[in-house]
Amino acid sequence: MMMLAASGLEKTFSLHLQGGTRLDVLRGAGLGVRAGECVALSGPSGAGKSTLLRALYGNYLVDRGEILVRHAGELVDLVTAPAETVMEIRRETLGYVSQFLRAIPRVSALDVVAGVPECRDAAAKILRRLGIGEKLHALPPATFSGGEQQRVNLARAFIRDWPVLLLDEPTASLDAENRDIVIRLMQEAKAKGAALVGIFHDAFVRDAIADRTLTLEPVRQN
Amino acid sequence: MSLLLEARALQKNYGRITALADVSLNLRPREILAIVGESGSGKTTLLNVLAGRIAPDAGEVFYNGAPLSALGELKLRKLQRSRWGFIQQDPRAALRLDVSAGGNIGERLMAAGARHYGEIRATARQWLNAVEIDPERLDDMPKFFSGGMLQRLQIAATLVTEPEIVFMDEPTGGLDVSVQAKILDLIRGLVRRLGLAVVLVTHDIGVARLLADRLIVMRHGRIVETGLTDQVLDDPHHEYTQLLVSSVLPA
Repeated sequence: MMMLAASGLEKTFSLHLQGGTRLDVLRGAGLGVRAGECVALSGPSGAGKSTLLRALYGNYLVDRGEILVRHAGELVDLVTAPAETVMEIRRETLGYVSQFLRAIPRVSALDVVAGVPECRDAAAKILRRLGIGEKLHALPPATFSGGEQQRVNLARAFIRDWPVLLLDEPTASLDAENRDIVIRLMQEAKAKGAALVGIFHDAFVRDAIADRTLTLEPVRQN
Repeated sequence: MSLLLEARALQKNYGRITALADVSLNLRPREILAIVGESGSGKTTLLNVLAGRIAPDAGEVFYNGAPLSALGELKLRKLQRSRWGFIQQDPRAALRLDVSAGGNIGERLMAAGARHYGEIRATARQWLNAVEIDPERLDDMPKFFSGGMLQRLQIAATLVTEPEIVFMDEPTGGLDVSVQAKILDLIRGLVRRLGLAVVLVTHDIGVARLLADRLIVMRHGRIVETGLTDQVLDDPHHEYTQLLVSSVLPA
């Protein structure tokens, strides 16, 4: 079943503070991902991998094209959906793992992952699985190492089963042992029917998890 | 979901200065909407018009579909004292400093209809606790409280009636950053727990990012950009929003 289908995506950044410089980043990009499938985005730096991934989350607004997400049984176009629908889709259907954790002052790692108090047990479990020991659960992650912060970030995503999950370099700051745990988590998500789209610079991770690769080429600037 | 609050084509001038020009927006139940912009952009005027504290020159604000202008002074006051709340930047302007902390909280409860003295005191205690003020300070005068405590007391004295909408004007402005973090965390927790809808005015992009679902960027009395908070801040389209976002010092 098609979970995510994007086509004809165009994105130009207008940098008003840099004399109105225009950067064409996406020109007709698109992809389709079925349940239980993982698509890796590849291509040289500047090809628009992160832009595409952020566009698929509605974090960047595309100028043209459609992004259909299967939400509550229906395909909904994220590009034209009103803000409250996008928020609902992000609450229920569409997960995103960013490269860096945005730490919230005073909020413990456990609560960052749990979100609501009812999910604390599940949060403790997934944090332990990602090698974040009990001792750290009560501490705000602002002081954690890069690798620990990234694992908190991953725990926040893998605490639940997202129908569609977008991952931006999920293993970038992890050692081999933790990288393998993340690969297993992604494989389990696929087995449960999740559709995954990710940027994986590590070829080992890509080969282990991706069913297909979508290669992006940099757009020639006029 | 229905609209809780809706503004249509608001206009407000102060002499020859345009404070609001053709401003329309809406707010849904449980939604947190931030209004950002520099001083003089009209954001505080907009907040005051939405909250029924200032009448617009033209345009209309609707609450649950009914125009505020048709509500009448008495009903509007009643709304502002119970179903709505307003948190000001300076708690000294909102609180009565020579009335006890408990009295400040109880006053709003009584205005909303509570009469039982013991229950009012018990509720006031609970709320001091909820905003992390020692309940033993129930009978203390706020004039001896620190700035952060005063702001927390104002929050308690506003939320005690469990309002549906809370208007906030720079709630962390003028506080030390450590105190700011505590207040933000408190607001974040209470807003979620009580399911409040919030209209928040701030010039602090970080505060908006932390609290708001949606963002409105204002300049010269007009809305120049609006959208999901992370989308507007990570992919700002308008020249002014790009300036605003790029002007923030990284921590």
